[in-house]
Amino acid sequence: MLEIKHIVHQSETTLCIYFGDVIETELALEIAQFTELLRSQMNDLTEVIPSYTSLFIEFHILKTDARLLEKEIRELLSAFQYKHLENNHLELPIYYHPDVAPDLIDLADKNNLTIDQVVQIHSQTTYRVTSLGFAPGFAYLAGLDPRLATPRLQTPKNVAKGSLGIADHQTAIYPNASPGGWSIIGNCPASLYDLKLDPITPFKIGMTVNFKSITKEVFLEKGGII
Amino acid sequence: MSRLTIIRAAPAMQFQDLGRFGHSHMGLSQGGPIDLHAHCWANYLLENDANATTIEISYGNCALRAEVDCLIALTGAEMNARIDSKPVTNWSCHFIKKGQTLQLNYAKKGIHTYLAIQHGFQAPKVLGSSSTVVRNQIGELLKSETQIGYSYNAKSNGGLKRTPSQYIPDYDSIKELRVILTDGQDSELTDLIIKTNFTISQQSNRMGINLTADQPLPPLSGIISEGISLGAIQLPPSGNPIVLLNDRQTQGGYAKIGIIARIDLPLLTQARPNTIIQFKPISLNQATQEWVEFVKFFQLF
Repeated sequence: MLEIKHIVHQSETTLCIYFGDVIETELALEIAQFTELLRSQMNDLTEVIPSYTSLFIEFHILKTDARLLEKEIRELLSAFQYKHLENNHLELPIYYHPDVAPDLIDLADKNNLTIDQVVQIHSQTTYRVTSLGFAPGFAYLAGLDPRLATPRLQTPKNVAKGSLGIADHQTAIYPNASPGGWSIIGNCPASLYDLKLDPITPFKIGMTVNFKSITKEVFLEKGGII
Repeated sequence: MSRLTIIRAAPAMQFQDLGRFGHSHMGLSQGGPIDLHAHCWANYLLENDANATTIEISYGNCALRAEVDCLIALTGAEMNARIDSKPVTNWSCHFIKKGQTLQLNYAKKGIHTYLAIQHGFQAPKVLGSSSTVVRNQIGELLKSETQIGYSYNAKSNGGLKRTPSQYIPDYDSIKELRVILTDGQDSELTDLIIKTNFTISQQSNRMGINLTADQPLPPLSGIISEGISLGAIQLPPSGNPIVLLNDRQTQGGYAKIGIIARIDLPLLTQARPNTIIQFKPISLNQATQEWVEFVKFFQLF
């Protein structure tokens, strides 16, 4: 059951509600679902950002205040019950190849695996979206096989659009070119952030995701760039 | 449609309204004017809504030609503005006749100038806002030869207004910024934060301002990523803080030592690289009171 550990009134217009201090997929999903409830029930909020263990809130300072909000949120939470939902599933094509993956060989070496083994392990796992953030369309995916877990790079570098990366026990795709410190093992030719679409990204917290290994020909056909 | 033409673009010129709210959970930055105080005054002088689109001009050196008569306001950094050859004052409204050119020099005091026009510039809206956020691929920096639209032909030059001098900051004399310190913070760290001199680094942009401490602060362990407030002061392992601004990432995992009072934030964003600043504590109550006054005065939201 979702329980408030503590609430911090951070600034004039923001507060952060903490529900735990350990990253657990289930907790992240509960917080995300509670966030949807807040969003639908409360009009005085300008931002509601769920994370693994917390919920960040920015509010209209002329319409409400932190104390009143806190009371309302506690009331909503006491009536909230997490429902296991059948979540949508997304399959994304990935070209796993050093052509587009500068760190694939290194990551395989570090983990005493062959490239084929890395691809096989990574593409046979089902992941879950636990958080959205960093940049638009960037989804943190939990469930990485421990055999692939690899620390962040020492120094961030420029990463190409669509790059599939690994950092510690997470995996994610950079929807656009960006500086980044994750080890890049492949590239996804599908668009993951498009302002013309509603919603602007196919990812949603709770959704399951898997990756399908594709050939160079298919990658190029789908608009991938080498 | 009436137009201004950018004859020569500044290094960074971009459309900004109050910002894009309600999309941070998708990873979108809010954007919005990096100096909200100057943006709001520019619109206020023209009796525009505070959310009317202005052009944020950073570092200066640009020229715009009026294709029809128009009424504009300039606020923020001092850029020695001229209309044709005639110098015009900052923090004021000015009438520009068809064919005249508004020229801005390099920024002398402060960094960012706001150019507002009666009824606001016509800028494309994305998710309800015209704010440019380059790192989210929303809008782009304005280039030379761009024609900018606005919806009104000014007919008179009566009623020109100026910002009263007590509301005009001296961006060259910024030394202290008030900070809402993180609740329950170690008192030794708090003492250190207050005593330390911080230098504003060249490595600063609309995402954040990097500060170099004269003695690096003791490193704090990271936290589980969470949403970040505007003006939050992160302390990465280097011991040199980063103040997060309008185009910040939506979540972060560095510990925070405090949050700059909203009312003081424009003083930081206008302070030039190599300026030395200190932090001074302010209570959340006091900061809130001052912020509410500002929000009420400009009728924000």
